[in-house]
Amino acid sequence: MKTKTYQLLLILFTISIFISCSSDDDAPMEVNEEETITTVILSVTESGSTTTELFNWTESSQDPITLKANTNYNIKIKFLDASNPDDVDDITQEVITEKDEHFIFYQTTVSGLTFDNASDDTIDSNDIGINISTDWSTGDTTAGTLKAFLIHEPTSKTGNTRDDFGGETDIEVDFNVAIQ
Amino acid sequence: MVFLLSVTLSSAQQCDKILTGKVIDFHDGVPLKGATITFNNQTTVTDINGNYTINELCAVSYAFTVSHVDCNSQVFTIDMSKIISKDFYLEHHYTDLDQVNVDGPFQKKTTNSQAEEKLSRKQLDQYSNLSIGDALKEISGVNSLTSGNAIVKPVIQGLHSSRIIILNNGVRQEDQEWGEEHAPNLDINAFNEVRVIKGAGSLQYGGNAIGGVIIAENKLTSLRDTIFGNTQLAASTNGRGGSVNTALNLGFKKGWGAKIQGTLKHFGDNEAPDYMLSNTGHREQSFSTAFGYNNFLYGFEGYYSFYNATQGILRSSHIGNVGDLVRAINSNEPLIINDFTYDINAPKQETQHHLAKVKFYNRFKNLGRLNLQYSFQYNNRKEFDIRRGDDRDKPSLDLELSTHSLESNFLFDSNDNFKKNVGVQVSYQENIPNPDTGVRRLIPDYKKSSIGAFAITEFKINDQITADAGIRYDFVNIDAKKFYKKDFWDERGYDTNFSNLIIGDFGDQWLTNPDFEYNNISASAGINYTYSNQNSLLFNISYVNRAPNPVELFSDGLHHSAAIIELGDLSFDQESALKVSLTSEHNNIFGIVSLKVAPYLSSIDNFILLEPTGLDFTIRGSFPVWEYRQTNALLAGVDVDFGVDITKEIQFNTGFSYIYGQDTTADEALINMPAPNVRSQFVYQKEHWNVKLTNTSVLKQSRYPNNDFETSFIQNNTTVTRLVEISEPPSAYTLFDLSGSYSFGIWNPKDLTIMASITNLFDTSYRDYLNRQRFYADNIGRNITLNINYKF
Repeated sequence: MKTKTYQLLLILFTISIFISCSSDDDAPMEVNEEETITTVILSVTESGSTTTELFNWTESSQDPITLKANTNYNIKIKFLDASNPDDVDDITQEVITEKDEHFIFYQTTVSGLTFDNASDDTIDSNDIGINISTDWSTGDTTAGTLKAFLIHEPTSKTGNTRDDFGGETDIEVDFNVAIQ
Repeated sequence: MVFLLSVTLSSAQQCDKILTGKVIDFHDGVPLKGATITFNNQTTVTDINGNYTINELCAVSYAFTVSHVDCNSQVFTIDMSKIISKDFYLEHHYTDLDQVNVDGPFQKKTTNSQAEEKLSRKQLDQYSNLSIGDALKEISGVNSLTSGNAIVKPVIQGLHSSRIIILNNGVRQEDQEWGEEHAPNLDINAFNEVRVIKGAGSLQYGGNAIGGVIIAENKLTSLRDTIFGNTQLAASTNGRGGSVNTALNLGFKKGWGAKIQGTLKHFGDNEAPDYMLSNTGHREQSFSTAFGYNNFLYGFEGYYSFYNATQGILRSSHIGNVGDLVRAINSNEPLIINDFTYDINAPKQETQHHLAKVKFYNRFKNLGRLNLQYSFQYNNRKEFDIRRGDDRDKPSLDLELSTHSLESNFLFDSNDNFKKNVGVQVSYQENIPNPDTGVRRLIPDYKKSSIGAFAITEFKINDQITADAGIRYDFVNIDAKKFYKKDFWDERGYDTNFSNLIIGDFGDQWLTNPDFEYNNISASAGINYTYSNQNSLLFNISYVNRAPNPVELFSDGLHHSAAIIELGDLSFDQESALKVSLTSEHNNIFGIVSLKVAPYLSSIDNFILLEPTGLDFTIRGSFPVWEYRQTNALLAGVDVDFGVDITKEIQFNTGFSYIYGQDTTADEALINMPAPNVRSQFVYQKEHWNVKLTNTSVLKQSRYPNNDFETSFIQNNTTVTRLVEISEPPSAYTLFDLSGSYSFGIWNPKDLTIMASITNLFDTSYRDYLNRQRFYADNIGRNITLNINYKF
């Protein structure tokens, strides 16, 4: 009985060691973060014009935006995952697909700069535009910051400040804006 | 109790044989005085030297039943035609299967000189639908670090997680215990008894228990023919759920024993006094079984336990960045409050733990006992964040941890006045984070091998003083494979110190192979002085080392639930703790009062803590960066327990604990030290009734480091800077609980107990400093629980 139990224990342990060691020294697979947004692009089009200027925000460089005073613009926002430069994902499509769970919002220190949904904005199932496409009007010459938010699962989609929407901030980026 | 196997006696034979000899304690070789030898309704008693003489025996076989108080009776068959003298060995120190400790079974404590408390099955029964962490709060000096209501980690004298060892039926629980929001993966109903050793000196369990040891045990019944068990149902209003657990024990006189036990728990959202705590439901299914055999000389035991739990994390505590954190702090209520539901959505945790062990012991005459144990544990932890797109249902963290452990010890217990215990533990652990999560691994793939060896001794200096001493050596090797982002690698300066660790180049990431070794020596010594009428004074000094855990070494990313970026450090050394503790125990003052005062002082070199060092600006906004850092820390505190029997039926008892924690290098308070707290109880006990009124009062922690930081917002077209107040602990609070139970007999005396309890009687709104969700919501409100326990 006794020796048998000893033997059993020994066998169990030996097996377990073999099992543990048989998984080799294979290198683990690297993980490239999915659903990461690396780049925010604002496509800015002056009213009545067909030329569109792109302003990129990445962690390493942020394009300054220059707008004309007292002018109307359309701004479309785009989110890219460019963590693999050879395979850039457009996350904007995901945001549009899950429009009920997303909301884009802007805050600015630029006086006179205001925005509203554009007519071609993405409308969610509650008839609320989620601000993928927005119309802007500028005031007098000045300068300041434009902050863009992508909010996930906002508690409300109506309001005037970031606090009104709740939810989690997926994106919060600052652009320097000069109104000339 | 003593059965006599009758032997036919032939009248034709000559009956003039004499049998002489001794009755001896098998365990220490000491002759037993007053042992009885019974045969054919005749009884002989041994003299002071254990000698006996039986006259007028016939030349046939006799069955002698040899008995002694505290020993198991044994039947010996002797053929009197061949034998004239015989020494009988009785097992004086017979105990259940599970006895690893130096101490004999007659002592209540596991350790000689350390502060130690225990919770019995009866106390645990009241917590059958909660967790071990909740039950342990009954003990002064033990607090809990929680993430909401269901994730509860024990904190012993200010220390927790990797600094505590939890023994699950003799096996050191390996369940990613480093995480502050990782609750122990074990079911409270699986154990008969839970002990807490509030000290670092229990060297037989592991070298790194700077905080202490929690011993959860469940012993098999054997050596009597029996079948018993219980079924317990508990239903609670808060969470609108309940639990059912049942246990069945089998025992056989021949030495076999078996046990089977299972628990189911099902709860929906908890409620704070003013609102629903959305997504805080939890489920638990657990099961354990054991079987074993033991006899005079040897025994074995097999044990398997399974634990499976899903725990919701408060929805509003899942935040995106600092702005969200500020909004949460500024709001009096959680930002997301939904209607009650049993559904559990992300964020949530799913954990599974399997534990299997086989254990064997063998006794050696006049020497002691050899124990051998092999255990295997498999732990899977999945954590789900709120994600988008195809990743919606994927966990963000998926860790598989397998641990093999082989241990053996020899307990030299033949001499009660000088016991020794030596042992070795070898273990091999492998952690595999699943790369399919699409999230960079929080902790890397690693293999951890460890070897520990210890020698401890306990010796009686005189009738009043028992001393103990022990030494332990641990070797730990961590062989990890970890990806580092190249820019981060350089930023941390690893390119200069650790460039030799790089084994692969994967675009913007290095694959590295940190392979670290730690050699730890631990030592402990103490005395136990017992004097006049149940008073004792315990003194213990211990020096213990702990190797850094994988998070402290390797973490390098965003920790969602805390909205902070956590950075580990490859260059960490082990922590070294020197702890001195004193326990003054008076169990019988004027026959009605008991008092226990236990001060301690612990100086920890290279204490690893996490502290904020700046802000990192990412595309998700800004995040505070917290870095692990080594410093020197001082922990000093006292636990006081006082009890008085006011009348025969009414008892009052109270426990108080205070901790002073200081970072002596930075000269500031240590973070997350439990606030001073008092737990007081009036107990009325008469015949079938037991009524308890409990008050728990927690003061505001006034000693905390200032980790507040500033962040900027746009408000009314201007940028404003606001202070993010994350440091100040919540206000003091006081809670009352009321419980009453009535036991009565249906088939057997007191086999049915019905208990009703109300916790947070006055539905008080409060927040606790050691609840990681204190920024987001209040703790749970009133909870009424009905508990029916039937024993059979």
